[in-house]
Amino acid sequence: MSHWMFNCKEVSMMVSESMDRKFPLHRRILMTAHLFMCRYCNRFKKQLLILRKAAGLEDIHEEDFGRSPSLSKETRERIKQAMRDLFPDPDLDSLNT
Amino acid sequence: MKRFLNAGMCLPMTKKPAEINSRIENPESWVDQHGDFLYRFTLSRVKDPSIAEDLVQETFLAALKARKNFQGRSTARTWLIAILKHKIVDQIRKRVREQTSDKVESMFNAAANNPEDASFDDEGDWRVGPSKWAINPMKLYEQKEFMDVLYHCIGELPERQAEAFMMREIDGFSTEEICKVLNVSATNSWVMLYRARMWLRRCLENNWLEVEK
Repeated sequence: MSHWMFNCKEVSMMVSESMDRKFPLHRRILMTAHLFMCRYCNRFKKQLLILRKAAGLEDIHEEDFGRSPSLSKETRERIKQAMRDLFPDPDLDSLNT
Repeated sequence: MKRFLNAGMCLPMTKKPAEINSRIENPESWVDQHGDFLYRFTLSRVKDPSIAEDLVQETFLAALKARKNFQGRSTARTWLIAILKHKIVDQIRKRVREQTSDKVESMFNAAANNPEDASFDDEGDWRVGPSKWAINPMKLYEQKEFMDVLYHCIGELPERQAEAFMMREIDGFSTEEICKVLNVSATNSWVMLYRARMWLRRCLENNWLEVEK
């Protein structure tokens, strides 16, 4: 699928890089033209966007809410104690020194 | 560890400083407010409840150490989840390393460090074009298997690639910030991110069944 100026390997790099910085207009036009013509590179771009969305996801599947128990009272206390042990004085200023 | 100190700093401001302060002044209240959510999130990725508890504890301790760096550019929960995701990936990586021989691991790293060679021929064309993923991007949280495989694949990445990817996609760092933390040039950071993404999409296609060839 080596039409236009760039081949698929080059376009795949450009697609990734375009997610991290802004390209000059002419490069964007050439990349977009290639993506319009090439279904594989177009899929690649969609997949990278799915990866970005999935990595940033904070939701949990409903099933996991139902299946998973809460932290036990003992575990909560253990965690709080570990926090106290780490910083005996919980005052915010004590962490800035 | 340095990455945890910055986790979540680059996310957009969503709350007023006074609201943020009221939430971070008493870190122990985090456990009551967010503990269950973090625990459930961890259990959705790590099956062992005792490991999940440990990861939640480590997350709160890391957050406590980095509290002065929390500038309120995200909600406390978003910040804690970002730290937790790093912990989960570290745990998966540890498990993967334990199950993998040194020889296999070095082959693995070689492949992950240069995934474009396996993906493209000498002309720069796809050897095997990306498959169509049968997934609704708007309902990713319902795609449990996809998310499981994704975390496993991130855990398989070489450590610095995984760090670059997580800083960019989970913590929302700019590439300039990634360059400072990892001490690499801008060009190197783009290459690391490209290779991480290439590896992850291939890993997902190889290990997740919902693809149309």
